[in-house]
Amino acid sequence: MHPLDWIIIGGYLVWVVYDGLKRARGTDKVEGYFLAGRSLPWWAVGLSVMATQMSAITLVGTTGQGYAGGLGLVQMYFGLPLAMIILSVTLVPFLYRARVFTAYEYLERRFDRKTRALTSLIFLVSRGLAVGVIISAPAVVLSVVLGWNLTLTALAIGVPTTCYTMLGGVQAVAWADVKQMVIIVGGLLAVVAALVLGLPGGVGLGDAMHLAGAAGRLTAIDFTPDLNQTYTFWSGLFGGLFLMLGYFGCDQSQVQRHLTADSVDAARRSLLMSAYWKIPLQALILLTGVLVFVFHLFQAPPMLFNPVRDAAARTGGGAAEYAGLEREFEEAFAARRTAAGEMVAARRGGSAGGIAEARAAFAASQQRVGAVRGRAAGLVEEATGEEYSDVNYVFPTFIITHLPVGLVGLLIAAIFAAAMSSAAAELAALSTTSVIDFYRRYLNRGAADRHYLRASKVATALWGVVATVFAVFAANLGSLIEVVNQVGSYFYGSLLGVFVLALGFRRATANGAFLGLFAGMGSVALVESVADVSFLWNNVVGTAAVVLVGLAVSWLQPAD
Amino acid sequence: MTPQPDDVRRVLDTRGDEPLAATYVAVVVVEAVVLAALWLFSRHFSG
Repeated sequence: MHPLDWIIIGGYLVWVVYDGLKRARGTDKVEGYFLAGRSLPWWAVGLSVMATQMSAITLVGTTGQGYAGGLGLVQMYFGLPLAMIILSVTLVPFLYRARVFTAYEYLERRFDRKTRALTSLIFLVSRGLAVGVIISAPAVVLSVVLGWNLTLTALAIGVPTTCYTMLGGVQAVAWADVKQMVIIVGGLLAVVAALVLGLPGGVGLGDAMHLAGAAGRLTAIDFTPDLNQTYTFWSGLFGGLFLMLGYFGCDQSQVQRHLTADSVDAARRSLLMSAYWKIPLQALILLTGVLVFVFHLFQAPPMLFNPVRDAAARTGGGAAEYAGLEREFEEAFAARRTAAGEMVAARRGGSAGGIAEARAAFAASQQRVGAVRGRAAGLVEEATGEEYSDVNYVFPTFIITHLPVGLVGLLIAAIFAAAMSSAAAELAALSTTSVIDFYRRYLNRGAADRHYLRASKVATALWGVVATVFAVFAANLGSLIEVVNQVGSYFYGSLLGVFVLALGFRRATANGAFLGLFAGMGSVALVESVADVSFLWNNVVGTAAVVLVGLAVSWLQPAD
Repeated sequence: MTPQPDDVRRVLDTRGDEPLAATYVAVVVVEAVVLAALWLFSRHFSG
C-alpha cells in the first residue's frame, strides 16, 4: 500500500480516539455517560442509528452479495420503514418518557425482575457474540487481502474503539458515528464514481446495467411466495418488519441511540431518517457490488477472491486439476469479455433479434465462468475440508487492486469506520446493560453516581477486551452478514413479543411474559430444526409464540 | 408489578408531542415510490 494510504488510515484512527477524548468532558455522571445527558439533536441521533446498523459486515458483505448475487438482498429492508413508523408511535415515546437507561429496565416496572433479568441476559449473550463478529469480519478480510497480521488487525479496530467508548461514553460514540457515516457514504460514492468513470471506452452506464441485468444481477424484487427462499418481497416485508421492530425497538444498542435525543420528537425523527434513507442506501451498496461485477467483465478477476484458500488449492492434492481450471477460467473470461462487447455493440446498432441473440450468448458465457468458479470452489473445499465462500473478499480485493492511491486509504478507513461505529454502540449497550440491569440492580444497590460511572468505564473496557479476543478466534464464520442477522433472529422476535405483551395487553402477567419468552425461543429453535425456512420468518414465529403463550398463561393464572 | 399511576400518566401523556401523521404518510409514499422504482429498474434492465 502507498504511504499516503497509510497516512489516511493512521490519521483516521488517531482522530477518532482524539475526538473521543475531547468528548470525555461532560460525561461525569452516569446519565451523561450512558445517555449523553439526553441532549443530542435528531439528525445526529439519526446518523448514529444508521451508522450503528451499518457495520463493516454490511459494507463488505453486502457489496460482495451485490457482486455474486445482485440486488436481491435489498428486500430484507422492505419492512424497515413500516417498523420505524410503528416504533415512533408506540415504543419510542413510551421508553423515552419512562426515563429508563435500558429497554429491559422498563420490563421490571411492567412485569417483574425475572423478566427484566432474562431479557437483559439474552441481550448480553447474543450481542456479546455479535460484537466479536463485528470486529472479526473486517479484521479477517483485511488481514487476508492485505497480508496483515490477524491479531494486529483486530487490535487496530478493537483498541481505539474500546478507548473512545470507555473514555467518552455514548456522547463520543454518537458523534464519532456521525463522522464515520460521512466517511462511509463519501467512500462509497467515490467508489461508484471511480467505477462509472472506469468503464471501458464505448461502454456507457446504460450498457453496464444491461450487462448486469443479463447476468441476473439486477433482480431487486422477487414476489415468489416461497418460505424457503431467503430474500423475497414477502419475507422482507413481513419477516423484515418483525426483525426491524425487534432490532430497533428491543436491542439496547439501538434503543440507547434514541434515548440520547433531546426530546421525544427528536427521538422519533431520528428513527424516521432511517425510514427514508435505509433502502436507497442499501441499494447503493448492492449496486456498488454490481458495478464491481461489471468492471470485472472487462478486467480479469481472480478465479477465487480468497488468496489464502487459493494458495491452499494450488499446493493441495488437486493442484494439477486446479491449474487446469485456471486455464479454463482464463478462456471462459476471454469469451465472456468478447460476448459482453458484442452485446454492447448489438444494443448500439443491431436488430431486436440480434440484441436477444447477443444477450443469450453473453448469459451463456457468464454461466460458463460461474461453472468454472464453482468447480474451483469445490477443489478448495476438498483441499481444506471447509465450506468455501469468498463473498466478503470481493470488495476489499477490488479496493486494493484497482482503486487509485488515496482512495484505497479512504475506503480502508471507511471499513474501519463501519466496524468501529457498530462495535462502539454494542460496547456501550453491553456496558449499560451489565451495570444498570445487573450490577446496580443486584450486586451494589444505592452507591454514589461517581461509583457507577467508574463501574461503567470498567465494564466497557472489559467488554472491549472480550470482543477483541473473540474477534481473533471468530475467523471462520462463512458469510458473516448472515451469521450476525441469524443470531439476532433467534432472539429478536421473542424479545419483541415480550414488549408487545407489555404495551399491548393490560392483562398480560409477569409469568405469562416470562414463560412466553421461553416458548418463543423454543418455537424458533423448533422451526429451525424441522423446516428449512428463511431466517427472516423466525422473527414472526418468535413474536407470535410469545404473545400466544403469554396470553394463555395470563388467562390461566391471572394477576391478583 | 404494574406501573405506578404517576408513571403511567407520564409515559402516556402525549399532549406536547409534535403531530407526525403527515410524516408517516410521507414515509409510506416514499417507500412505495422507491419500491416501484426498484421494480421498474429491475424489469427494464433484466427483461
